[in-house]
Amino acid sequence: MDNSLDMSVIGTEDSALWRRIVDGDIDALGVLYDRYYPSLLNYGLKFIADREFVKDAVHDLFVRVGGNRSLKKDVVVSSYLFRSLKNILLNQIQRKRPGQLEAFAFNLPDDDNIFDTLFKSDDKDRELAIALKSALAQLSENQKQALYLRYVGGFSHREIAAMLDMNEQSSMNLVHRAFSKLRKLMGDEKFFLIVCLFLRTF
Amino acid sequence: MESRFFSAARRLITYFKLLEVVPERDESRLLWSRIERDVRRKKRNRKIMAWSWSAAAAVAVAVLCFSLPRNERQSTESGLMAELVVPMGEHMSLELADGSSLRLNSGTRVIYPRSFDNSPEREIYVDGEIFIDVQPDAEHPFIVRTAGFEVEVLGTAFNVNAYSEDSHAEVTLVRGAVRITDRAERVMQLEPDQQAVLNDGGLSEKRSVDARKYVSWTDGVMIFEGEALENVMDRLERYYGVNIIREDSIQISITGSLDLNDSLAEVLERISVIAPIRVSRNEDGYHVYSR
Repeated sequence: MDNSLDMSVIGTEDSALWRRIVDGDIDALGVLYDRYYPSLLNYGLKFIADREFVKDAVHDLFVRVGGNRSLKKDVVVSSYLFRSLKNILLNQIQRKRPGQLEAFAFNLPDDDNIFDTLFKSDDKDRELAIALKSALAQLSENQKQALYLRYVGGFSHREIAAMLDMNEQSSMNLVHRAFSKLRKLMGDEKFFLIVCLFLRTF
Repeated sequence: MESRFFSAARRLITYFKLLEVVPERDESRLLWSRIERDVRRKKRNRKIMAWSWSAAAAVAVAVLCFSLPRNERQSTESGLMAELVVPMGEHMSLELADGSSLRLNSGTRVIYPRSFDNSPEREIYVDGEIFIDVQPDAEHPFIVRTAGFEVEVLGTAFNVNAYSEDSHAEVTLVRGAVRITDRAERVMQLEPDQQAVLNDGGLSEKRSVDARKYVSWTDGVMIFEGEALENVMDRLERYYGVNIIREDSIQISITGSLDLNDSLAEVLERISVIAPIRVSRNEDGYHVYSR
């Protein structure tokens, strides 16, 4: 935001920010935008790898939020934004690129160069990481999203549950199921115990 | 093994974090300035819209039309669409996902989306008669489609009377504004207390009426002012879902109101007091004779 911005909104919680947006405060909308633009852009890119297309959807999302007089007052803000963005993307693809509709799915990116840099050929973790990565690709759409939102996005189970339209327990179960499927896919019987430990640690 | 797994998993998360894009500051600012401009523009437009909405604050229309092609049923089984058919002689209320509420007259079929999310327009399909109170949403126009024509709501509440067996159709506006587009793409806009008359899906006439008469059925009352007895019988037939067989051609018009909570026998009895008719009943319905 520019320098004239009321600084009191910067550290404000999402819900308080949201109330100000509902009342028509455009500065509060700007703070929310700054807070979520990077994560929304990244989330959108998982569905369609076209940055300008996703940016247009983010634009539509914030214009809709800022210009909507009958905005819901009680929402989990992060979840509302993520879900709306996905809906807008889906809608825009239906309208503008119907041919790509079938390919519309959540996909984790991959980059061999970065992977090879991170895991050198003599790295003892390399094989395990490759196995994990290919196991991840075989998870269900929701499982992938839940793991991504939890460990890369850093969202709470409450937020993830609202994003994926399920209750909090289901969201936790989803993450657990994703891990046990990973275990099966990797064919490692010991893995289950490790996973339980892992879940607690993160 | 365990510590290796930890290490690999943590580093894999790091890997995915590295693949996340980091927007440039300028890129982010530029997008925000577009958003800010469009939000302000939208708020300005809304003030203008708010004014015109208040003029169009409530719409009521009566429409009468033809059947939807029956093969459209197929596409409505998809789960996105729901269908409601009101049995003859019954009446129902329905609330749509956007909060709009409908009153459905006897024998009416309506197809509507379970959700209006992700669609630029709110559309429903009607064969029969409805009264609808449309939730205002300037961004998502509300359209009632019939086989012969469509009605776009520019306000909030209207009545559609569109039975398939009639070649005659009517759109009557009580409050607000609607725009009708007929089969030949001709357009007619109505003001309150105006009625569009359509024949075979084509607009044929615009006339001034007391629109309340055409929606009074929603309050369980039928109001007639110099209405041809023939039309009154048609409407009663439909409302009660019972045949009324006209044995003689009776060219009279009647004025008055009928309480639809009464039985059809009582209603016909009441009409026979003011009109020169005689009514009898057998297993195939009511028979009306001139006297």
